[in-house]
Amino acid sequence: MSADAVAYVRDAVLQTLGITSSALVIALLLGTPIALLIAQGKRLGRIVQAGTTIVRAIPDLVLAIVFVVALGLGPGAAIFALGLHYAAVIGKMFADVAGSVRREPAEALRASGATSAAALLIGLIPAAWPGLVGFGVYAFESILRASVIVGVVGAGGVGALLVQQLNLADYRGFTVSVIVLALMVTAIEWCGTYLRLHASPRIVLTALLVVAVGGVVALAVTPDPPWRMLATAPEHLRDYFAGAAPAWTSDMGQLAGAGIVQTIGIAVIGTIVGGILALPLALLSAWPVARGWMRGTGWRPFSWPLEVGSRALLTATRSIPPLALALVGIITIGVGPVAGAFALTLHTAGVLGKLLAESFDVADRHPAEALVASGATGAAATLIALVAAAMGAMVAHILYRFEWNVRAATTLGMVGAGGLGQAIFNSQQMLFYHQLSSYVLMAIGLVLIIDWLGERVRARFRLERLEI
Amino acid sequence: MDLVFDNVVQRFGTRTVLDGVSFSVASGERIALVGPSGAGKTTIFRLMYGAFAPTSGRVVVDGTEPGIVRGHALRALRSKIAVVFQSHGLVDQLSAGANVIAGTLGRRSTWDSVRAVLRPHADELADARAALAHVGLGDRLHDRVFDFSGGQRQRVAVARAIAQRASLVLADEPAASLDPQLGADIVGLLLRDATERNATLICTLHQRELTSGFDRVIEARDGGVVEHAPRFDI
Repeated sequence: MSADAVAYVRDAVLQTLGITSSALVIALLLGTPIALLIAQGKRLGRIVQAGTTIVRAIPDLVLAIVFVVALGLGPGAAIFALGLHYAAVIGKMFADVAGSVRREPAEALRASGATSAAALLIGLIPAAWPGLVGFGVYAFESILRASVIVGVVGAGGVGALLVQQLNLADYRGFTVSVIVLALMVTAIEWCGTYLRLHASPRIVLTALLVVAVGGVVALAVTPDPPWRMLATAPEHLRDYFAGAAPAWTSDMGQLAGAGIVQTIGIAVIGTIVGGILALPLALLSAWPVARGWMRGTGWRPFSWPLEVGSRALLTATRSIPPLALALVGIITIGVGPVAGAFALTLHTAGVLGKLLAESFDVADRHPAEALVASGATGAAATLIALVAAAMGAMVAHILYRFEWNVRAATTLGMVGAGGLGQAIFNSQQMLFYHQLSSYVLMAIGLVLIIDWLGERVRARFRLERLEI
Repeated sequence: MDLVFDNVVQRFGTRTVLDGVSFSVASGERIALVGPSGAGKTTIFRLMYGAFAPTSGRVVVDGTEPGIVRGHALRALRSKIAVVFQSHGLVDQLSAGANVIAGTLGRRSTWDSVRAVLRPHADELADARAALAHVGLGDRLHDRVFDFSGGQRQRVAVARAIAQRASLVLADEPAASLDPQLGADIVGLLLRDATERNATLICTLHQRELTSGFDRVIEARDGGVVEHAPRFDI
């Protein structure tokens, strides 16, 4: 690689990290008071809660495209879009954490005359701390993935570089960028795991300070810092609001209908085929778990390469963002929904494989051990006792993955992988802002309906609620 | 089935659980294993079915060392050992009948195991129903264990051990989650079953009044064992 190419990748990585950090800071600053309002459970809190549900339903890339249109190209749009989206996510998650810890300690402090702030800090936060850190880290990881995605619509960072390299047919550079990206995601996941396990307030707050300052420094050394857009933003905003009222034209019906069918189809195929690929890998990773710490009847040196190998394969698959996979699909298969389905299938296999393996890891292993003790084969004990014990969590994970895939299928369209996203992207490119607004509303509606259906299924089968 | 513990030492890290345990059990003997919690009773059980090898010393069950053999030999030995776990070891999501059938997996291939649990033949179901009838749960064959009480789960675990027709039955506190009368009934059932089939039975117990029907009482204490006549005063 030439020195220029290295500089491009370096700037893109710095910009992505800067976007991620700044968006996290905004999300925490906005999301924490939102969580407090929701947790209080008063009327204002319920209104805010309804608002966060709608904001969370907007796929992050759709939000980014709206901000790119409204504020102009560059990382500033990404920071605001992701900051807003994840403020809603953090508001919901932190409120859930606050709702799950015991209220009595805080109430006892209030009863003896402590201020409500003191009661919160001393009575509630310590109990909620591990949950807050866990979800905070999860938000950071999610924002990192999303910040790559939003680059595609002109919001800077590695995502923008990927599209640029693809347009220039620089496949070597593209491969290097994808590898750098996968390493970045894996490194952040490792840091996240460390923080979750060693969640002392001092370490976490230091990490947060490093992230906040580091983010600003990273953006400052890149060629296009986000504060530049402040000069041009008012003009963009005027243009946008002049032409952004949702409108319906006769040619939109067919496009929108086909887009919705394609989006759901991509999500369904990605979930089913990805799930079929994920299950054997998850079972291979969980095989030794069935034996617990018992000597099994299998030959240990034979089973551990399978376990380590399948876990490594799952990690590698899920560390490549679906958007990069979609771009690979477009190069190899061509523009259209098949590329989208290809991307979601691979990504779902990686993520679902890990989640299913984790369901096996945390499932009660005593029944499996009991079967092995009476001479059952390790495979039989895994299939009968572990899978049965993990069944509820497995179905819940698959359902959530389907909902996630519907959002992802919407966004993948923006790089040419079919579905509603493609219609959104085309109308942005052609500056048809009124059409853009209509399609965005349709995407939000679609996601809200799918989420609502998922809730109904969960309530019907009394499944666990696992994440946002 | 006979078994021998010869100067067995078991350490986990720096913690010594068994410090030179020696005893032997003849085929068809019925032994009550007593002692305070943490005395190593469960570790003794785990050594018998070869969950791990002892740190030093020898454990010999039916002429083989369960901590040393592997593969088919280990499976063959384990299929002749029935274990009633203190935590019951039941698969919550399966029916009581399927859990009883799961005791016979030592004689089955992986494929046949899954088939027998999910799609049992009529004769396999009949066997399971008979075993459940022994513990007073004959009418609960198709009910999911998930909804069972602690005492009912305990009885399903005992039914599984009986259905396995093993030559060595290890029961870890089989009366712990039962009321006194039912506890005595279940221990009596295990004793009768072992006597009828001339199987060896080893039961850990903490209620001394339940030790009366046994041939010998072995007490685990301070890393070693002490032998008593039945119904001694602890």
